[in-house]
Amino acid sequence: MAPLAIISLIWIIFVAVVPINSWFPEATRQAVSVDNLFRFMLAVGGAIIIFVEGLTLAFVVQYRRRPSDPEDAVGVQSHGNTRVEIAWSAGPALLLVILAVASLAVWGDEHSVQKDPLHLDVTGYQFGWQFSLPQYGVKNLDGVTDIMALPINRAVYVSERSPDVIHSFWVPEFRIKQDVVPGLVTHEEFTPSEIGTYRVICTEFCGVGHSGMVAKIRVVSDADFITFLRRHHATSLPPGAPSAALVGASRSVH
Amino acid sequence: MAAVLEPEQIIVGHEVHHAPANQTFLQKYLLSTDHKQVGINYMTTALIFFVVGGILAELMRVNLATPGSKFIDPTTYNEFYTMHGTTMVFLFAVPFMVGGFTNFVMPLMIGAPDVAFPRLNMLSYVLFPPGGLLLMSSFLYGAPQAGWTSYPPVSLQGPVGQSLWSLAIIVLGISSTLSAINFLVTIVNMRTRGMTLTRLPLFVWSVLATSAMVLVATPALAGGVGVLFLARTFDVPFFNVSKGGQVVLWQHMFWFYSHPAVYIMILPGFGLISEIIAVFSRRPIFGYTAIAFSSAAIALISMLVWAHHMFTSGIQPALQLYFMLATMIIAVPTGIKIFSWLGTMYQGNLRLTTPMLFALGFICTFVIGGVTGIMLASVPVDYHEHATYFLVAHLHYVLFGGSVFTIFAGLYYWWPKITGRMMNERLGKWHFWLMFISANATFFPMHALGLLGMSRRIATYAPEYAGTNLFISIASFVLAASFLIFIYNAITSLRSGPKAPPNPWGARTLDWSTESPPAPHGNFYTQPYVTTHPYDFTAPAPYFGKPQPEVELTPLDERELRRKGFRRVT
Repeated sequence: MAPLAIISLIWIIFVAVVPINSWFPEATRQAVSVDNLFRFMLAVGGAIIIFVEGLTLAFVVQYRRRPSDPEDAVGVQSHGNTRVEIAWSAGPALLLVILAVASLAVWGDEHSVQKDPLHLDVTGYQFGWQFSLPQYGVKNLDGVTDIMALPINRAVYVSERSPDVIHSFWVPEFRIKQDVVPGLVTHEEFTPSEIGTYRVICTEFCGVGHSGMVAKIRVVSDADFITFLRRHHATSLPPGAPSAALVGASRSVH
Repeated sequence: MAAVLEPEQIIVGHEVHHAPANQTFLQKYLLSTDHKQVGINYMTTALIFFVVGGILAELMRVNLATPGSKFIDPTTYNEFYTMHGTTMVFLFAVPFMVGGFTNFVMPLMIGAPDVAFPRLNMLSYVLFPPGGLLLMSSFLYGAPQAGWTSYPPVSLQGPVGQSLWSLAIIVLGISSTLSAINFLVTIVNMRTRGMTLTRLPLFVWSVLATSAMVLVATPALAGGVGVLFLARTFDVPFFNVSKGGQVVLWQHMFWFYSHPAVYIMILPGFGLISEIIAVFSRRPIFGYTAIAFSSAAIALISMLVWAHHMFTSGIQPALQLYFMLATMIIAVPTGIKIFSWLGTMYQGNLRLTTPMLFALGFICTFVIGGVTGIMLASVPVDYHEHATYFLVAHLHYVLFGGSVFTIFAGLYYWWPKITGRMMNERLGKWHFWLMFISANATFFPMHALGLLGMSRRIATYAPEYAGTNLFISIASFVLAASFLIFIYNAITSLRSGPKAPPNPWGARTLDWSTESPPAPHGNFYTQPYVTTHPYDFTAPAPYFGKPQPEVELTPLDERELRRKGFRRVT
């Protein structure tokens, strides 16, 4: 038992301290919470696995029949131990309550209504993407030749639509996905927190072009976001943008 | 109080009869109404489909060994992954567990001469190969490409094979529902004298729970698949949004069956693992009552958690929360079983035979699948991991590490009883170690692939995943090779293996209380009766089979044995 506890402790410490962001970016605020939740589950789950595998191995070594045992040797003929059984039912149940509460906390964060979010419209079709920012009149970027940019540290509220079959909008570095369902408008919310260029991957089988239905999305600084909007002939700009004349549109601030 | 019957008082129940003479091959084997032959038929057919599903998987892994591979085109790849999943679930795992092991073993274990409705049992089997062939025929007309989950609208776009898929599933669903009715009636009505519910072997408890799930859930699948067929063939707008349909409706109908289905594929396996671990630890199963109750609990709760497959499908947030909590609850009865098996090994006298090794290998791989299942049950984690290779890893750990390992454990365990021959232990151990190591090597790296961004059901992938995918593909070829060891062992055992005694493992359940194999019709020569629980290894093993002659030693053997120091016992 004791060596298994020590191995489990080493595992838990390792999971707690190993840096994820440096080799697999946590590009949204929610990604950090999801990764921490996952670390917690990995630590606990790993400890359970260590114990189950370790005890199996230990029992096989300790209780295997020796060649000198008689052919009809038997093990101890008891049927159970009520206290032990209650313990190993209540213990995992308690653990699951803790995991459920931790999950609820992250879930609440992912579903909380943000003030003044940036609205991103995503359309998934067979076999490509279209991204739009309806608030600023930026329409139908395909994510491949023309990559959508999102400003850092501003909550994004995504609305997803499909004209044909079910797709799924996933940016692995954001740690959130939601299916794009015909007949529904589905939503997800996140707040980008790391500047970079990330992959958009369709994660629901949608036909022969499913493997190739990838795009890119960028997270940029506020200044770069303004530049991006200007370049795409936005019909309005975020409040606080420098007041330069917009091409062919009246200035209005939302 | 009924008198104890002496072995000489041979009682022949009215069900016991001799097969009529001059039966054709078809009548004697494929159309047999004897539960043992029906079970053998199921197991043989299911193993053939296991090979088909395995070949499809290996072809997929060849394609996935390198990114951008042109080995097979995307359409064919999509057909292969769809047919791999469908074949493994509906043509291998469910028939093997429900039709194979249950049919052969369960009536023996309760001391019954057959199931309650033997001709219905024959009908159940007779539906199985045509259903399988109907499914396979879809390759000729454009196989389905939408996965075994077959979500519309993309499955509405698919070729004719998708409709053939629907019809095949309905046929197979009828087959297993009829079996479930048969087994429930058999267990309730046909237990032998003394076999109270508290003396029921745990395999039979698992059959009870599994049959209840099959009975309730399979008709729902048939309904859903029937709806898909109508939508495809007659444009009935169940899933047509422009005419008021709802796309997610299919997912609810499909997963309402398919979640219990995964427990249908594992619960009989749990039951037979309980038998194997008790027998090869030579002590009573630890926590019999808890294990029996947990089977019932799993059956009930499994019907209430289906939408944890739909967290990202756009269902209401409140529903997501409910299904998360319900799914986490199911981990408790499953954990109770694992700890009870470990508790059975504690202070036992373990014999590490091939069935026992597969049982231990099952525990070691299934616990990993269970832990990743809990991770996926958490909605925020599932938002990231759903439909990635993390999910593929989880499902293969519980289905390969779970169902396949328990099927091999059961096969090695009951092989002497079914065939009357012994398997070669050395080959069995080679099979186990090779399969155990290569299965873990194949499926463990998939966890990392999924976390790092590789989604599932793709024929090609980004170059950064190339090294891991190549490793996985090579490991999967070793996995396939390990199965060949089993085939070789099986064939040589059938042709020239040592004859099996009635009870080579020293078990105490009634399935081992006959000769090997049991009498073709009726199983027992005297009415079996039990007076104690089925895991008492201090009491003598029961025997209700054909009286066995004394084994006479030939003179040469006797000389040899005397030279080695043995003496005749008088």
